Amino acid sequence: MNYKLKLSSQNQITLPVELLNKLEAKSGQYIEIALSGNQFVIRTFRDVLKSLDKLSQGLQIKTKKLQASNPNFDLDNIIDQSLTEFYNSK
Amino acid sequence: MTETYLLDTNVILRLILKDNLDQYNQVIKLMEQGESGKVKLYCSTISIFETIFVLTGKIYQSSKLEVIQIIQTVLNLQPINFEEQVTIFEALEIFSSHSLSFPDCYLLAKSKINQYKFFSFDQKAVKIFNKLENLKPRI
Repeated sequence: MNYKLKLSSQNQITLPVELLNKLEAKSGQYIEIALSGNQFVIRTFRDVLKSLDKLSQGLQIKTKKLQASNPNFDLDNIIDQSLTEFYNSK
Repeated sequence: MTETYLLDTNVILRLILKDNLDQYNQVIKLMEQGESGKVKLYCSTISIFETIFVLTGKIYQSSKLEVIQIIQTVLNLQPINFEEQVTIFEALEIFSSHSLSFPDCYLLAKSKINQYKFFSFDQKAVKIFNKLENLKPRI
Protein backbone atom coordinates (compact mmCIF):
# COMPACT_ATOMS: atom_id res chain seq x y z
CA MET A 1 0.00 0.00 0.00
CA ASN A 2 1.29 3.41 -0.91
CA TYR A 3 0.38 6.83 0.39
CA LYS A 4 -0.07 9.78 -1.89
CA LEU A 5 1.91 12.56 -0.35
CA LYS A 6 1.17 16.20 -1.09
CA LEU A 7 4.15 18.49 -1.42
CA SER A 8 4.14 22.22 -0.78
CA SER A 9 3.32 22.86 -4.39
CA GLN A 10 0.54 21.02 -6.20
CA ASN A 11 2.95 18.23 -7.02
CA GLN A 12 2.55 14.85 -5.45
CA ILE A 13 4.88 11.97 -4.88
CA THR A 14 4.15 8.44 -3.80
CA LEU A 15 5.83 7.01 -0.73
CA PRO A 16 5.29 3.73 1.10
CA VAL A 17 2.76 4.24 3.87
CA GLU A 18 5.06 2.41 6.31
CA LEU A 19 7.64 5.16 5.93
CA LEU A 20 5.09 7.85 6.60
CA ASN A 21 3.77 5.99 9.65
CA LYS A 22 7.29 5.71 11.02
CA LEU A 23 7.88 9.42 10.49
CA GLU A 24 4.57 10.31 12.13
CA ALA A 25 5.21 7.99 15.05
CA LYS A 26 8.59 9.62 15.56
CA SER A 27 7.29 13.16 15.45
CA GLY A 28 4.09 12.27 17.33
CA GLN A 29 1.99 14.38 15.02
CA TYR A 30 0.86 14.93 11.48
CA ILE A 31 3.72 15.78 9.22
CA GLU A 32 4.17 17.44 5.92
CA ILE A 33 7.12 16.79 3.69
CA ALA A 34 8.07 19.91 1.78
CA LEU A 35 10.58 20.36 -0.97
CA SER A 36 13.30 22.81 0.02
CA GLY A 37 15.86 23.22 -2.73
CA ASN A 38 16.80 19.67 -3.60
CA GLN A 39 15.96 18.28 -0.18
CA PHE A 40 12.80 17.00 1.42
CA VAL A 41 12.20 18.56 4.81
CA ILE A 42 9.68 17.50 7.41
CA ARG A 43 7.35 20.27 8.53
CA THR A 44 4.93 19.93 11.39
CA PHE A 45 1.64 21.78 11.78
CA ARG A 46 3.38 24.29 14.06
CA ASP A 47 6.13 24.89 11.50
CA VAL A 48 3.47 25.68 8.91
CA LEU A 49 1.75 28.05 11.37
CA LYS A 50 5.07 29.83 11.94
CA SER A 51 5.53 30.25 8.19
CA LEU A 52 1.99 31.59 7.91
CA ASP A 53 2.65 34.04 10.72
CA LYS A 54 5.80 35.27 9.02
CA LEU A 55 4.08 35.69 5.65
CA SER A 56 1.11 37.48 7.24
CA GLN A 57 3.07 40.03 9.33
CA GLY A 58 2.21 42.92 7.00
CA LEU A 59 -1.48 42.03 7.03
CA GLN A 60 -1.47 41.68 10.83
CA ILE A 61 0.05 45.17 11.18
CA LYS A 62 -2.57 46.54 8.80
CA THR A 63 -5.30 44.82 10.84
CA LYS A 64 -4.04 46.46 14.07
CA LYS A 65 -4.11 49.86 12.35
CA LEU A 66 -7.64 49.22 11.06
CA GLN A 67 -8.76 48.19 14.54
CA ALA A 68 -7.16 51.29 16.08
CA SER A 69 -8.87 53.60 13.60
CA ASN A 70 -12.22 51.82 13.72
CA PRO A 71 -13.49 50.51 17.06
CA ASN A 72 -16.30 48.72 15.19
CA PHE A 73 -13.86 46.64 13.14
CA ASP A 74 -15.71 43.45 12.21
CA LEU A 75 -14.15 40.73 10.10
CA ASP A 76 -17.52 39.37 9.00
CA ASN A 77 -18.52 42.80 7.66
CA ILE A 78 -15.23 42.94 5.76
CA ILE A 79 -15.95 39.51 4.24
CA ASP A 80 -19.42 40.69 3.11
CA GLN A 81 -18.00 43.95 1.74
CA SER A 82 -15.29 42.12 -0.20
CA LEU A 83 -17.83 39.77 -1.78
CA THR A 84 -20.05 42.68 -2.85
CA GLU A 85 -16.99 44.46 -4.19
CA PHE A 86 -15.97 41.40 -6.21
CA TYR A 87 -19.41 40.88 -7.74
CA ASN A 88 -19.77 44.59 -8.53
CA SER A 89 -16.47 44.43 -10.42
CA LYS A 90 -17.73 41.66 -12.74
CA MET B 1 -17.87 9.26 17.55
CA THR B 2 -15.43 11.89 16.25
CA GLU B 3 -17.03 15.30 15.88
CA THR B 4 -16.61 17.02 12.55
CA TYR B 5 -16.43 20.78 12.14
CA LEU B 6 -16.75 22.84 8.99
CA LEU B 7 -14.64 25.96 9.42
CA ASP B 8 -16.13 29.31 8.45
CA THR B 9 -14.17 31.84 6.37
CA ASN B 10 -13.66 34.04 9.44
CA VAL B 11 -11.74 31.17 11.08
CA ILE B 12 -9.29 30.98 8.17
CA LEU B 13 -8.94 34.77 8.09
CA ARG B 14 -8.42 34.87 11.85
CA LEU B 15 -5.49 32.47 11.47
CA ILE B 16 -3.96 34.85 8.94
CA LEU B 17 -4.84 38.25 10.41
CA LYS B 18 -4.76 37.49 14.16
CA ASP B 19 -7.36 40.25 14.65
CA ASN B 20 -8.72 38.57 17.77
CA LEU B 21 -6.15 36.65 19.82
CA ASP B 22 -8.70 34.88 22.02
CA GLN B 23 -10.47 33.50 18.97
CA TYR B 24 -7.13 32.78 17.28
CA ASN B 25 -6.15 30.65 20.28
CA GLN B 26 -9.50 28.85 20.13
CA VAL B 27 -8.75 27.92 16.52
CA ILE B 28 -5.27 26.68 17.43
CA LYS B 29 -6.81 24.57 20.21
CA LEU B 30 -9.29 23.10 17.74
CA MET B 31 -6.49 22.39 15.27
CA GLU B 32 -4.53 20.62 18.00
CA GLN B 33 -7.59 18.44 18.61
CA GLY B 34 -7.71 17.84 14.86
CA GLU B 35 -4.05 16.90 14.88
CA SER B 36 -4.60 14.31 17.58
CA GLY B 37 -7.65 12.92 15.78
CA LYS B 38 -10.16 14.01 18.43
CA VAL B 39 -12.07 16.09 15.88
CA LYS B 40 -12.17 16.36 12.10
CA LEU B 41 -11.84 19.76 10.48
CA TYR B 42 -13.03 20.72 7.01
CA CYS B 43 -12.72 23.88 4.99
CA SER B 44 -14.84 24.42 1.93
CA THR B 45 -13.62 25.85 -1.39
CA ILE B 46 -15.91 28.86 -1.00
CA SER B 47 -14.03 29.88 2.15
CA ILE B 48 -10.76 29.93 0.21
CA PHE B 49 -12.43 32.15 -2.40
CA GLU B 50 -13.78 34.50 0.27
CA THR B 51 -10.37 34.67 1.94
CA ILE B 52 -8.76 35.63 -1.38
CA PHE B 53 -11.45 38.27 -2.03
CA VAL B 54 -10.84 39.83 1.39
CA LEU B 55 -7.07 39.88 1.03
CA THR B 56 -7.10 41.29 -2.51
CA GLY B 57 -10.03 43.64 -1.85
CA LYS B 58 -10.04 47.42 -1.25
CA ILE B 59 -9.35 47.15 2.46
CA TYR B 60 -6.24 44.94 2.45
CA GLN B 61 -5.09 45.36 -1.16
CA SER B 62 -2.52 42.57 -0.85
CA SER B 63 -0.33 41.75 -3.79
CA LYS B 64 -1.11 38.67 -5.82
CA LEU B 65 2.20 37.08 -4.80
CA GLU B 66 1.56 37.69 -1.10
CA VAL B 67 -1.92 36.17 -1.32
CA ILE B 68 -0.71 33.14 -3.27
CA GLN B 69 2.04 32.42 -0.73
CA ILE B 70 -0.37 32.82 2.19
CA ILE B 71 -3.06 30.57 0.69
CA GLN B 72 -0.50 27.93 -0.30
CA THR B 73 0.70 27.92 3.33
CA VAL B 74 -2.85 27.74 4.71
CA LEU B 75 -3.56 24.75 2.45
CA ASN B 76 -0.61 22.97 4.06
CA LEU B 77 -2.11 23.13 7.56
CA GLN B 78 -2.41 19.40 8.05
CA PRO B 79 -5.18 19.29 10.68
CA ILE B 80 -7.59 20.88 8.17
CA ASN B 81 -9.04 18.91 5.27
CA PHE B 82 -9.43 21.34 2.40
CA GLU B 83 -12.07 20.61 -0.19
CA GLU B 84 -10.51 20.43 -3.70
CA GLN B 85 -7.03 21.06 -2.29
CA VAL B 86 -5.20 19.94 -5.43
CA THR B 87 -7.49 22.05 -7.66
CA ILE B 88 -6.90 25.12 -5.50
CA PHE B 89 -3.13 24.60 -5.67
CA GLU B 90 -3.38 24.34 -9.45
CA ALA B 91 -5.63 27.44 -9.60
CA LEU B 92 -3.07 29.39 -7.56
CA GLU B 93 -0.36 28.29 -9.98
CA ILE B 94 -2.43 29.60 -12.94
CA PHE B 95 -3.30 32.78 -10.98
CA SER B 96 0.41 33.43 -10.38
CA SER B 97 1.28 33.54 -14.06
CA HIS B 98 -1.82 34.91 -15.81
CA SER B 99 -3.92 38.04 -15.50
CA LEU B 100 -7.21 36.27 -14.84
CA SER B 101 -9.46 36.52 -11.81
CA PHE B 102 -9.08 33.74 -9.26
CA PRO B 103 -12.53 32.26 -10.06
CA ASP B 104 -11.52 31.99 -13.73
CA CYS B 105 -8.22 30.33 -12.70
CA TYR B 106 -10.21 27.90 -10.57
CA LEU B 107 -12.43 26.95 -13.52
CA LEU B 108 -9.39 26.36 -15.73
CA ALA B 109 -7.70 24.30 -13.00
CA LYS B 110 -10.84 22.23 -12.46
CA SER B 111 -11.18 21.55 -16.19
CA LYS B 112 -7.51 20.67 -16.50
CA ILE B 113 -7.41 18.33 -13.51
CA ASN B 114 -10.58 16.52 -14.55
CA GLN B 115 -9.41 16.42 -18.18
CA TYR B 116 -12.51 18.29 -19.30
CA LYS B 117 -12.67 20.56 -22.34
CA PHE B 118 -13.32 24.15 -21.34
CA PHE B 119 -16.25 25.95 -22.97
CA SER B 120 -16.50 29.69 -22.42
CA PHE B 121 -17.29 32.92 -24.24
CA ASP B 122 -14.30 34.49 -22.52
CA GLN B 123 -11.71 34.15 -25.29
CA LYS B 124 -8.84 35.14 -23.02
CA ALA B 125 -9.64 32.29 -20.63
CA VAL B 126 -10.07 29.83 -23.52
CA LYS B 127 -6.70 30.86 -24.98
CA ILE B 128 -4.96 30.31 -21.64
CA PHE B 129 -6.74 26.99 -21.18
CA ASN B 130 -5.56 25.80 -24.59
CA LYS B 131 -1.99 26.63 -23.59
CA LEU B 132 -2.39 24.76 -20.29
CA GLU B 133 -3.90 21.76 -22.03
CA ASN B 134 -0.68 21.34 -23.98
CA LEU B 135 1.35 21.09 -20.78
CA LYS B 136 1.98 17.66 -19.36
CA PRO B 137 0.14 17.00 -16.11
CA ARG B 138 2.45 17.41 -13.11
CA ILE B 139 0.83 14.71 -11.04
